Amino acid sequence: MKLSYLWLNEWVEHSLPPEKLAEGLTGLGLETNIVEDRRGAFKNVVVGKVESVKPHPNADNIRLTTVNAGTETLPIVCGAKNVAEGQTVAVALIGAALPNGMKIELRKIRGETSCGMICSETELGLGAESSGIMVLDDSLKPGTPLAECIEIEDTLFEVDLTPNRGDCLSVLGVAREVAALTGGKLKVPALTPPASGIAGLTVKIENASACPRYTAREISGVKIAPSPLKIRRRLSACGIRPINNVVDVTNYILLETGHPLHAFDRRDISGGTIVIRNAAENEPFTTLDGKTHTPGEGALLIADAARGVALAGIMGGQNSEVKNDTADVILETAYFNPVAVRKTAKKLGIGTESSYRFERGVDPDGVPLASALAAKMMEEIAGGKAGGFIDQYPGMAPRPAITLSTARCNDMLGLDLKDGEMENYLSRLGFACKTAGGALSAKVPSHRHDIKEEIDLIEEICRLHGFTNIPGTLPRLAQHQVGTGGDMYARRRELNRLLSASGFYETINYSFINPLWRTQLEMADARAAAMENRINADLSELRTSLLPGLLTVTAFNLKQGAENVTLYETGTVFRMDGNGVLEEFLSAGVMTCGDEEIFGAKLERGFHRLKGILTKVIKAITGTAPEFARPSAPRKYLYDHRQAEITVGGQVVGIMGQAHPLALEAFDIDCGLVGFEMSVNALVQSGAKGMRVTAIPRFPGIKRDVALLVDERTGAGAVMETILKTDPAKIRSCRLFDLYHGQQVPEGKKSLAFRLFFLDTEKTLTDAAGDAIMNAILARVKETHGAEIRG
Amino acid sequence: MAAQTLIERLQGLKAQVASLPSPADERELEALRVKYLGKKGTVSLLSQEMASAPKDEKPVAGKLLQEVRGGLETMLEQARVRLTREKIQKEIEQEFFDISLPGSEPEFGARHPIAAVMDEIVDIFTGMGFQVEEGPEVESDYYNFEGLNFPAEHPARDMQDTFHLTNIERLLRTHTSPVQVRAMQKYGPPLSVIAPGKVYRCDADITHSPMFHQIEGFTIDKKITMGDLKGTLQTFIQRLYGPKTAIRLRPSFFPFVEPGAEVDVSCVICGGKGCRVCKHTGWLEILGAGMIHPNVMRASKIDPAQWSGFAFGMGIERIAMLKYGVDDIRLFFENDLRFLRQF
Repeated sequence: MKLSYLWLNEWVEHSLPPEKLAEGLTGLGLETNIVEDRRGAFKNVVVGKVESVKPHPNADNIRLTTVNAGTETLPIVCGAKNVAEGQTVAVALIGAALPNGMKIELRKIRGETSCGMICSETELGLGAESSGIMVLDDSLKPGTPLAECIEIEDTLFEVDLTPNRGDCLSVLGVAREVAALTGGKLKVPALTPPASGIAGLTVKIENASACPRYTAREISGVKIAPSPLKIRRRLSACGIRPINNVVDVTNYILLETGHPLHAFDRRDISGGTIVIRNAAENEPFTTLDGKTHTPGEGALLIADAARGVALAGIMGGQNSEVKNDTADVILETAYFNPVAVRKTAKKLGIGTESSYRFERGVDPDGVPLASALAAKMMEEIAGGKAGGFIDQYPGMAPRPAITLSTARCNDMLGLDLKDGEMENYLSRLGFACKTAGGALSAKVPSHRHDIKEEIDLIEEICRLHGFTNIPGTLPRLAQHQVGTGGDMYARRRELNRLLSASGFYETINYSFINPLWRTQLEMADARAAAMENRINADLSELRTSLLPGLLTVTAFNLKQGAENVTLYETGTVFRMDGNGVLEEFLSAGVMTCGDEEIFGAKLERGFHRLKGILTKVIKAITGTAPEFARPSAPRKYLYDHRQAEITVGGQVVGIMGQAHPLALEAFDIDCGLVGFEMSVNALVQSGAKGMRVTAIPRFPGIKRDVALLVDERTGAGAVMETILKTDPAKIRSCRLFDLYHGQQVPEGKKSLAFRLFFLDTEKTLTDAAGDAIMNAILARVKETHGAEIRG
Repeated sequence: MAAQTLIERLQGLKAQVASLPSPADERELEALRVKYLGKKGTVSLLSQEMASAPKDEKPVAGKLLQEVRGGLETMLEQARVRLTREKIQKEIEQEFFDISLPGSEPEFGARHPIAAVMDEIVDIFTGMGFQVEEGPEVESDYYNFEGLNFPAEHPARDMQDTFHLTNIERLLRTHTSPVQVRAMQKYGPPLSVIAPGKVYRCDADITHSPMFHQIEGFTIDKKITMGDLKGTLQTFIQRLYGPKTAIRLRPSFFPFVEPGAEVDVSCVICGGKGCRVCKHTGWLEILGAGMIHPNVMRASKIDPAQWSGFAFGMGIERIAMLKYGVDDIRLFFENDLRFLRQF
């Protein structure tokens, strides 16, 4: 909200300069910043009298004038059509700097000297009126600084209000806070109450819960014209476009008191009656911006005998607006229910200064003041005559006083305030207080809808005392309960650290994906939940897997020229269960391609490299080595035979494999890509047993290497298993160190070279014993796999 | 001159050997060895004479011979060791070794900067006695709004533009505050919790992302004060940004706390003097905080007359942006390796 410093000063006595005021209000919770400061900005702008106007000898559209600027008469070249002899004008003298950045210097315009500029309103930053120079009141004396004659050297604030402080959405509202801050007096004008009743008009409220108070004031004989400069300037400064004197008054009083008002052309109120009623089901209504809405039954209308004339609290109707020939006006000032206004405004997608304030709650008891101020102003600037007043006030329950335990207040704030100090703070905010036996009873002013219970009073006291005046202390947390909620966070963090240390970069992808990504991977998933995404309509599904997102960023990085992509993510995935309940799981996924370089040697980031890393990582997390087996339901987005289900401790935790080239086509990726995805929840559960150490052997063992020739399609894993099972007690390890095809290996065969380690826990193994084990192994692998020792 | 006795000659040799200069190189060493200990060397020749020496001189001469030979051998061995060491040292001194060749780095990856900052903050709070709790990212209206004192149709809901699911009555949580209600319902007081996680709001520009991260923290106990909130945040901020960092609390409004505060931190870039980042105010808005609203306690069946507590929440992206000098939030979610590899 924009706020004028000079306007504010009309409503409260204080001596704070704008900077201190902004600081003080911010300290009270009204975040206030200076956005425009015109103090001293018009030093060389004075009142002048146009003494002569002659055509410019060398140009058609500009004139030569002489202007009496007080101490001297200056030649000034002027381009405005409306300049005329005898006018009192604003003159920017040489040396003046105008708000639009223009610097006034001695200039020659088409050969003629000009010692200044006659200003328009726009050039002075007063508004959008720029049809010509500004003509001032003739009573002003030439040479007088302009700032002494018209309100021009103002400071404008932006006040950022929180939704609970609807009462501050006005000059009066902020003035109340300034009064509380400084102890200064609020300057509310005393107005004589109007006569009750308007001849020929009745008001009937049909829905008192939506409209607890409605008032109408009669103003007759207005003459529609532009408002005076001061009004227009204030409106413009606050972001409201001046329209005409009557409409401007309603907007002006809205800004001043926070109370929305509406002026009807009395000619358009038929049947001498105003009814506040709900709209009929399909009743159309055209607002004054020319748009036709169907507000529906929940919406409140202001109607005459025949039709709706205003959308209550939101916008007036086109059928009854103030026109250039309007003479008699009915001025509406009402209190509408915040929720009712909000529902209709939201439903119709209309937001106005009026609905904004009603939604946040205006002051029901402030209605007569706003109405009277507007009526008075219409008399002053529109030549109208204010008449009678109808006030229908069927319903707001009186608000009981709130009791505050002063001890509790101190306990809550960590302060030691006296009862009197608390009373003082609240009184300054307009609360009527009484304290007895540690109980402070406070009557809440009618504009403070946000004050409902004790804690609200504590906040007010805290605010006035100043947050900066509360000393910092530390609570004792040692006796607080210890839960298990952090376990998963810790395990996930450990996993992330291991993956990062294994060469992968952590990514964070959106939880919502384009469902197309999923279908392109043929990840048919009926368990996906859809969402409404107003930022990007394509990303309309909650992810059931991390892979589509990882694939998308992989494609992105490859396009950016990355040769090696090594990415991972741990994050939530979302799936509906059979009963339509959405479940969340923590998932971890990796995607990688390219080569790894270790001391100059290149190693492909292929299936087996990833399998190796995954094995290490899972062992580190769970203490159990994972097993890899062909999945019972192979994934279509992976190569038919280059995929494996990851099992830990008998529980399936995830899938790994190489991406299918046809699946990658859709993502425009043409390199080999391997990855995995596993459930962190399942991983953590499966590894609950933890690991135990085995004793370090006391006797030396024997190392033996052997190369075996087997069929190409024989799995190395099966051969290793056979070897280990030959004599499980003594064969302690079997490591594949070479896989060889080529010279000396027949077509359709491969050579597997293993390093074996034999150990006896009871004694030193002899060579002969080693030979015996070796022979047993060779016999067993020949029998099981047809393996021959390679010579 | 009368011929010297064997003993006399051995004594002379002993004196000569004792004053021998140490050989300067391997050639001199070898020459010495040959001269004294070689087949035709002085010592060898003298030892041959032993056989013909008078019987009574033999023990003395034998002992002398041993001493001379031993002394020589020791001296030559010491010289050999010294020369070898000198040779090695010389080679080492003269070699060229290129320490400027690039090191062979192991392939480490990295944590995402957001995750790293989140863990850093979590660690500070767990060190102060808070425990981690997490909650679901898809929430009900109750936990996200109602239970946190956002009544239906209250303008406060406009502060958080919400994503809704289309086929079920659920929303993506707009803040981590629902964990407050869930944790209070699960454990009851006294309790201190820190809740990190993802949150979602319908908003996108260079400082807003539709998905971002928050950390929520709260303490509930008997007689927890606004001063405790201030002290806790002061301690946290000084651990995060250094002991000279100051905080400032300003009244503000969040429906689930009262009194509510906006917490500013003295600018981490300029130290409070005023700069572009803090818009020349010297302060940066980092946190929202306040005393837990009685309605929030009631929603968790906790009696606000007996218990009190404070809560606070902060956006991780903002803290990470300040920490690393990132000026566009979208960088965090683009996952460009050229960005991620910098961490």
